[in-house]
Amino acid sequence: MTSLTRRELLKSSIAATTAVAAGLPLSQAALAQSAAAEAGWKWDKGVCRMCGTGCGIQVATKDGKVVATKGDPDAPVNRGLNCIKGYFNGKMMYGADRLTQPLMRMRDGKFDKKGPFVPVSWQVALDEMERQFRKAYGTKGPHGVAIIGSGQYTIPEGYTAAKLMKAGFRSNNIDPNARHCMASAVVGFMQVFGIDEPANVYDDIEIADTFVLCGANPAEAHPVLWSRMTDRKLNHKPTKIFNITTYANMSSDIADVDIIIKPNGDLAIMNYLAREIVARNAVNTEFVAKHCVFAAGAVDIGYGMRPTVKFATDAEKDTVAKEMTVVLDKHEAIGQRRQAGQKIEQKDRTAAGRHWLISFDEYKKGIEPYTLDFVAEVAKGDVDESMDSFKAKLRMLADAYCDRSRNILTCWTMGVNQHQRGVWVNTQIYALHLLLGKHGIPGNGGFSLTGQPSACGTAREVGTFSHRLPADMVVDNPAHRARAEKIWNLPGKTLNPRVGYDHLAILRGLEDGDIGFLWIQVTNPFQSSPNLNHWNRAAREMDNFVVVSDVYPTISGKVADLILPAAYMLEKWGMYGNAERRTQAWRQQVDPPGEARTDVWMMLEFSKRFRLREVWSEKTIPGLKVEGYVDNKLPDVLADAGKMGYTPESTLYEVLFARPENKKFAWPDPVAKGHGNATVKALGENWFVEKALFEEYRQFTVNYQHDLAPFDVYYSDAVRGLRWPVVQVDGKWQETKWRFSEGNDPYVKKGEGFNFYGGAFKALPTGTVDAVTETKPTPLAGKAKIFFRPYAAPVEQPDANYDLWLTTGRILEHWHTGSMTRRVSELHRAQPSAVMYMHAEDAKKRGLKRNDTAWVESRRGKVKIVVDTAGRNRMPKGTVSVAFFDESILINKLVLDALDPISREPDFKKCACKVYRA
Amino acid sequence: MNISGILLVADTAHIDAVLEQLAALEGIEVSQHDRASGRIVVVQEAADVGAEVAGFSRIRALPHVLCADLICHYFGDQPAAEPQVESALASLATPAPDTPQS
Repeated sequence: MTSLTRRELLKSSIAATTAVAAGLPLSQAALAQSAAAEAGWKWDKGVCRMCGTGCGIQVATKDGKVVATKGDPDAPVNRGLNCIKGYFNGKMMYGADRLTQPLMRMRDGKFDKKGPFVPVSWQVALDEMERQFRKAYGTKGPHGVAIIGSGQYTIPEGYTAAKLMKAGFRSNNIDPNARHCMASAVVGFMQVFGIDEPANVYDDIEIADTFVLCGANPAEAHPVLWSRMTDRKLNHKPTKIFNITTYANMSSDIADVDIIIKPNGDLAIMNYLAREIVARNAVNTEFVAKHCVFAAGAVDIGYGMRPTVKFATDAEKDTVAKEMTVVLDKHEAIGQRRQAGQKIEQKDRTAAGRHWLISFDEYKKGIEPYTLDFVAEVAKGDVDESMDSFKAKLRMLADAYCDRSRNILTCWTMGVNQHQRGVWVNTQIYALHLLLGKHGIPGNGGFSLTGQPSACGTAREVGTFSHRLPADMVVDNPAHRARAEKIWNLPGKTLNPRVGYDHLAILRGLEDGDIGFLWIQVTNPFQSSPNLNHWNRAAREMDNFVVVSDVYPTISGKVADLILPAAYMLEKWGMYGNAERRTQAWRQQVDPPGEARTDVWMMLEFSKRFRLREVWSEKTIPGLKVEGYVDNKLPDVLADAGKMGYTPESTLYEVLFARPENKKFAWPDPVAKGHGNATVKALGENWFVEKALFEEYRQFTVNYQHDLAPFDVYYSDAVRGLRWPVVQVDGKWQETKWRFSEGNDPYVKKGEGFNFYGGAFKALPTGTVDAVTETKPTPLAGKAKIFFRPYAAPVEQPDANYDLWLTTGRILEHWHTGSMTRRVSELHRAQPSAVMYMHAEDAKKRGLKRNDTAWVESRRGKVKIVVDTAGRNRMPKGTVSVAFFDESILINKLVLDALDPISREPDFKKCACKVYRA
Repeated sequence: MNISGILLVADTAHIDAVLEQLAALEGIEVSQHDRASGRIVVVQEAADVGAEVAGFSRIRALPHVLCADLICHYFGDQPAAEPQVESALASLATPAPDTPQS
């Protein structure tokens, strides 16, 4: 075959594959040419790791290398489509600076925190890691060590990490980067439905008539879902898309109505919409009466900043001081029915999630101030837009919600979640859909979209948060701890009842000196966290030891003391869970290069080094005050462990992982179809680690409202993931589309219609919209909550010195911190470095024009950046935006570390800055 | 050799204009199109992945192109970079960003 023929064949094959995805007809000849072009290739199913959509991909390997990838035409999520990020799934692992050997800071042949990185053996790396862990654990106890994990963890990885920390080291200081993206969505689900994760599914896209995007830019962040929405709009003429955003973006190009808002204006708009639904008699009274209750919550909850200015620089102090007391502005005063200028102590900052039942009349009292005039004044974000135009758009939006004949889907991502009141907005969106009786049914619902491939499947479902256990259970619930201890075969009171440090608290803990050992897995927190200068300085200058496991060198690698080379996703077995509860699996396709190892192997090897006598003896837990425990103490459980057959010399590896029941899952296994397993190979054992751990994890889910199918089912050729709960019906594994509704969800009985069966927060005090009046809890099993939440202003706003809003986000060509996408140098060239999007007149006022270099500075730091006044983002006057993928810009140095006080998720979307010529 | 399959969705009222613009682009072949849906199947060949990504961005930015997705990609003949520990160390050599820029 000549090279020309080969090229022609490949082109025919690629044309044929593309035509299949497009649903266009294909000739037999084209099929035959495809087969010839791909001779010798081995195709297998995979999952894209580049966002939370969960697109299926097909991966072709030949001679131990990945040679081609394509969107999987059989995958219901993407139906053969693939976006530019997913397109590079196979290219990501072949960068020249791929980590292939452990690297440790050394001087004179031994670890030195101030030394340069030197390649070391795994033995040396793990020996030092063990020594440093013992030092921190011995002096500070379980609360002195921590893991920052990931929404990119595979399910077995997250499970291993959570079990090692919680059951082994008895520390709840494990928290994922999903805290940065999904935590507000999680609390929204838990408070409204009592159970996490969406009721809706992607199938709704082809059924909806109205899409409301709120704080989301799917054209860049979820391109395949955007393609489906675009397709719906083109093929279903009544379709309307509303885009609620702080600046016009790529999603605006196809949207019918762009609603440009001020930061936090969304809180007011949701109340306006609720008020209209009530005023126009659009409430589905039967649905609400049968299936809902009304609720309100604490308002004076602070902003998740430190309660002291001790660690703040002089420039930061005025903002940080507002954590304890704020002075209400005019809009807050109206929205909260208080007086402007009133000083309000943030008395509920440590009980921010407190909420209670209210009557419908009290709910109406809450939303009453949110008239069109008031809300337009609070929320209009573009000074060049007339008030009449803005009001007309809000009226159109209200019309769309109130139109009984239209199916309506509200979709949101980081603009809502990364928000000082993110939980509130999540609950407000559900309130609209619940008032209308349009939630969790085909084409209708509030649908929280996800940013990472397994933020749902691992971070949330497996429970790698500092407060969680698998299947929505939590560490501060004694019944949940008992169930976990039973499944894990642990003595009673092994698990620590005190909630651990969340992601930002871990970083603050480095600065405080509370955290002495930190292991970072599958993430890059020293680039992706707000107010970076504090944490990066603390990691480098304080007495602590930071380990980073990653595929490539990152900013976090530069900050670390030890870097462990990790396997890329196609170099290991794995499973992810996407934003519609779909659990998907892939086999290892190729071996990791050099000495790179799977994250699971790293943790198992580490667990071999610790014995029960060290970790299950009495431990000091500062602040632990729980019934049945001596204050500040976790009891010694070694005697009870002895009765269970363990000895003080048993290793954590033996007790937690290589359990006799787990070792029954033999390797090799027919499900592998000849594929390798890097974890098993490096362990030198013959049990199928990932399968055993998944089957153990599955026990948490079955008959517990989170049912997963057996491991092998997900690897079946016919399966492209299954949406939980997955139950067996007539011998077949059946997934669940719409949750909580009869006929769709196996947990809803015949005749119930709907049952919001989640068990969390389902007995509450009662009160007015402002306060509790009856503390005796009222049960509300099966009901969802319609919350009233007031408008609250952002804690830091532009002023005379810092006169612009700064917002941050993602772009199409790069993903998150770019540690992988930037490795494909061509991607880097396509969007070489982050730019600052700015209105041309704002630039002109500062003597700047497009492509000039400027300083952008906040109270927390400054960076140099190129100005773009005519790019993909069209900014209103007064706001600038910068993507956070670029490690040479590090915009997160400038971002305020204010959090939603309930979810503890940072607000990356709003702080004050100034811009001037460099 | 980098070959990719790209699916475009064009505004049906302007599909001829889009086809005309595509015909003028180097390295692009229109394999199939469907007037009713505006779908156009394009095969792009480029010397390296950089040229390919630039080509994709150019197509996506054409007037009346509503949507562009990459469907499949062949890159098997591209020599994969062999990872080098020196290269990783070089990437780590710049100082950690532990102090504010000034």
